[in-house]
Amino acid sequence: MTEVLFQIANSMALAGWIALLASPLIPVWADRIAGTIIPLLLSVAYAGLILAFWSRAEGGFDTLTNVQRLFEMPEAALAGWLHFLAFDLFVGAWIVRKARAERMSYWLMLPCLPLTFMFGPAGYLAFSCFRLATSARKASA
Amino acid sequence: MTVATTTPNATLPAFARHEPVLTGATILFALACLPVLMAMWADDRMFQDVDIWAKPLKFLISTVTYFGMMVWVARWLPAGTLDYFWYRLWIALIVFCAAAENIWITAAAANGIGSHFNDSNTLMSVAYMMAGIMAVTLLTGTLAYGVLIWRNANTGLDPAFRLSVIFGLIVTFPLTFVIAGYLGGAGSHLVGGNASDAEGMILTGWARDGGDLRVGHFFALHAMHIVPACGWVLARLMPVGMAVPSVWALCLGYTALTIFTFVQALMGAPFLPMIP
Repeated sequence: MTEVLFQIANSMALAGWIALLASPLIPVWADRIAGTIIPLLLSVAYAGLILAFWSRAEGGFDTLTNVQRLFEMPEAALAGWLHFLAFDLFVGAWIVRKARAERMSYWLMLPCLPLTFMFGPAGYLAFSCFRLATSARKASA
Repeated sequence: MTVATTTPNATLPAFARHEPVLTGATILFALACLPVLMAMWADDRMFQDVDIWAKPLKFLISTVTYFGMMVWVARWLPAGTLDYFWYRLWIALIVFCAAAENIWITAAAANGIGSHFNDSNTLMSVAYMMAGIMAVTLLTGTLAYGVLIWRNANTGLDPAFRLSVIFGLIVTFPLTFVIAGYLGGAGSHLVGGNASDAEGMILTGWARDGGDLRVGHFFALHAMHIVPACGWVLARLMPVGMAVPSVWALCLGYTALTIFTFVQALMGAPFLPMIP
């Protein structure tokens, strides 16, 4: 079950990121797919796994060792992975939406999206830097 | 003849206009089924020989049908009912009770323990007692709606269908109160037979080798759905002169059937043992 769900979730997330990369061509659908549909599907799967397995997972949030122990159970680790996938994609969709609203160049998104896909907060950081730089440049123009 | 048994505008905005809070609650409880279904798929734990998530799912569906029916009939409430402060407070209270009830049952399943009849520790005993009080509070919904619609002379409904709606809503309260009240204090839903749900009837899970108090509970609680549904059919098929007495017969017959299933279970006899 866990391996199958892992593969399905990865494929879904990947589809969402591809939609975001294609957002200049399909802006409305890219946002629906990556900003709503896929994060919600992943969230349903996550919530179901938490309902089913959270009470059986060892560990806790109080120490790093306990957090590591939480992920010793494959189902809990899968839930954690779905958490990453869902929230990273959601942030990716937010980045694209924000960039479009603020008329930032699509080319600036190209490094941000893979970074967010692979390393979540690092992508968000990159986008925030680009955003700050762009707004500073606009203000000085 | 033309029978005013339905309202033409049966859309979501129309429902939300008639009863916005319950419409929202119905949608919310319906959506809550999704993670529970996911948990059901992923989890292989059993409780009393049935899937541990069957009960939370059943209760969620039951809540959806309960509030869904209230939303459906809210259009026949007296004009201005929604504006009363006490009405809004009471609706908020019953939605809270439904949420608490479902959270209790779902949390118990998540932790692999029983919800009803669980006296294993103080917390669960208190929760079970509170759940009983909340269930009765929740149940006042159909009673109050039945009385309010009864008092509304301007529903525009066919008399036979109107009777079935009012009777179904009102009778749900005393029947469920008595049967569920007894069930709550009985310690188990099973009377005689094998102390397991594994060999239960298809879909419902009702015992086939002994009495099952959930049968009467089901008929009692769903009087609010089944009586109006049958009343609607009778009102469409018959002229008013025949339809009204027929609906009266339906109401009394249904009540008798519910009481029969309760007594049958008390005597330790299965409801439909021949159904697999």
